[in-house]
Amino acid sequence: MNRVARDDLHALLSAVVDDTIREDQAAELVRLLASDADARRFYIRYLDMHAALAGAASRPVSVPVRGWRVPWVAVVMSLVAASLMLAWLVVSGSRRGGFPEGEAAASVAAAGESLPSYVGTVASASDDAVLNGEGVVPGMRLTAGPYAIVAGGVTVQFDGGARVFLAGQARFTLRSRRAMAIERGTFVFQGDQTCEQIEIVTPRSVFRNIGTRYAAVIGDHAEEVHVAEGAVRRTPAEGSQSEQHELIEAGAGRRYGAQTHAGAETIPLDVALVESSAEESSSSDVVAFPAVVDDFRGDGERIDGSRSGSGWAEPWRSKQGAIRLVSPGLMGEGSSAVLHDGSGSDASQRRSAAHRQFQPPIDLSQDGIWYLRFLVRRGPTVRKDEHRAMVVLRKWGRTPDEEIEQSALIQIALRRDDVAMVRVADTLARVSLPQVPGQAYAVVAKIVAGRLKPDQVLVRVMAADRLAGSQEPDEWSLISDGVSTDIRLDQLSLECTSRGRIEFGDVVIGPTWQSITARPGAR
Amino acid sequence: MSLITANYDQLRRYIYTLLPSEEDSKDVLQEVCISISRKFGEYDKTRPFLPWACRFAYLKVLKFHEQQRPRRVVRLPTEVLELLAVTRDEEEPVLAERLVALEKCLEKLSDVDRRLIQSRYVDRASTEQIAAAFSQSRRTLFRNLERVRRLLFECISRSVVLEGHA
Repeated sequence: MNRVARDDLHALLSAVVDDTIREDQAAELVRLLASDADARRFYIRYLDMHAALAGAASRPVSVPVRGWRVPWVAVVMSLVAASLMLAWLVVSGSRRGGFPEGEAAASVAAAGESLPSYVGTVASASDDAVLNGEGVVPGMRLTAGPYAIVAGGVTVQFDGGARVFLAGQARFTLRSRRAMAIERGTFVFQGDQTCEQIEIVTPRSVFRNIGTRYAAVIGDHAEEVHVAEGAVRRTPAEGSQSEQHELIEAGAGRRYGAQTHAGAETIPLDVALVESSAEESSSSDVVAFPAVVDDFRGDGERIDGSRSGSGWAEPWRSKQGAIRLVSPGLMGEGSSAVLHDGSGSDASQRRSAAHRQFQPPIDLSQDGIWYLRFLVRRGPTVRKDEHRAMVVLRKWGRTPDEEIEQSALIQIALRRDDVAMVRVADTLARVSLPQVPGQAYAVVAKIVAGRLKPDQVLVRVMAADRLAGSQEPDEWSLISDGVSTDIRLDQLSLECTSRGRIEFGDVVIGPTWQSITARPGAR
Repeated sequence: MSLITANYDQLRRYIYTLLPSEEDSKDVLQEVCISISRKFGEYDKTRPFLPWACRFAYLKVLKFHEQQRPRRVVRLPTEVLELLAVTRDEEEPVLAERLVALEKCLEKLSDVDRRLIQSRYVDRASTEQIAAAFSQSRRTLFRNLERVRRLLFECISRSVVLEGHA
């Protein structure tokens, strides 16, 4: 690469990382990257350098000392150390590593085993959709069991990541988070290699996706399958006269008639079919408002007795630990937060808590969905410290003994520098989710309550500045086991166990994702 | 330390090179962590973790491009993303060497330039704040950032060549 070309790339890439690039420069960059291997190497090296520098403020790191800021030289050093360790791992193919605390969302207790388990969520539905005789609300959790779509279309998001859009008066059974049976109707499957594979059983076939988008029409006398992306492995259904397996590649269409053993008929790919979805025909969300809000804006530093926010039955109560109100909070000027500072020498200051009763309660004995969200920012983890920030929903007035005996609580916690966990009654799920010290996170818990179905909590952790205007995510950081409880939760507690700093920002409880993602006061 | 935590920076940097927007790449990184956790049962522990994890990152970047328009001007077509992913794989050993050199080159910067980098990358000060702190216009500030990054980049390239690693 000559000097002029290097100069051009320096200017273009500097504009990229500073977010000042113009449309014409972006087009020039894309042209260079598409045509020039040297330019691609330059690009990778330049952007990696920028990302390494930016890593000084965005890497989860445990430190042996107290304080918010981590010197950038130390962080670059830690990046180097991590990189060298990884290079060694890559080269050696070592068996080192592992997930000592359960990398996957691991349940340590199962409850309500006689209950049907949840396997997915209604991601979207057409306005006229009727499922099992009732209207459909996006966000509804679906348990294993039989379903019939009387009208419209519904997209089911499996907990393993794949999506299936069903229409055409489909009759189907959700068997598990990895399997479903479709008796009749039309479906469009969408998933990639990051999703769990889903087995779909029809009267004539068993389909397994291989990083795929495909569609099928399941009729009484024939089945059609159309593969748009990836591939589908088809096995004839049990009892079929044919045992021939088939790999259907992208771009192919197949029709299986009554005479299955006679083989498949090749048909043209139906592009319109594989591109159909519920999103096309659904209208915008209904506007809903939060039921409980606290932005912690008050007159003083004391949280005990503070009456900020709305939807609360009592003022805050706090008798334990070094916890106080501070401003600005996690969202800059004008915001406030609850600060725990356990960095002092007094060991009694390392645990703190504040409690407040809200109304109306979250009633887990009735069908319903609630969303709880809070903001949290934690400083660096002091080595061997729990560094736990936890929000607890519980029943007001219970003694700790009663609470333990009745397992009547929901705990959502971030601990150490890479663990997120949720406890619902006596079940616990946790996941390794690296978090950056000093970064404000929004934690959203979706609480699904069922009268005859299990209760369940789904948790999403995301950067706080990505919350406003966001849509309910397809995927959740954590999903609890389903449990059966009839408790009414009407107390929210903020609890910290840490030798460092923890701040809690806005707390909101509402009926929809949209109701809790707007900033308090924005209604 | 879990494998995700140990590989967090590598994954973050990998995603950023394919999705050069700090906000968008942050979102994708979250999705990647969730997917890796979900599919960890399929991970063959006799094989290196990073390439396996980067495959998820690549697919998530593609999905991000398909589902929502990146919030920035640079939108890399799928064929370019594929070329960049291949280049990134080939470059990993070089990038590890360059990371070592970066630390030395940061130390060689003048005090003023080092403070500029500190403000931009560690303190994460806004453009306006940095411009005010250094008594510069926005335009001059961006030129200076470009100049300092160029110094660093060339210093790293020289160091790597002198060390005989590239």
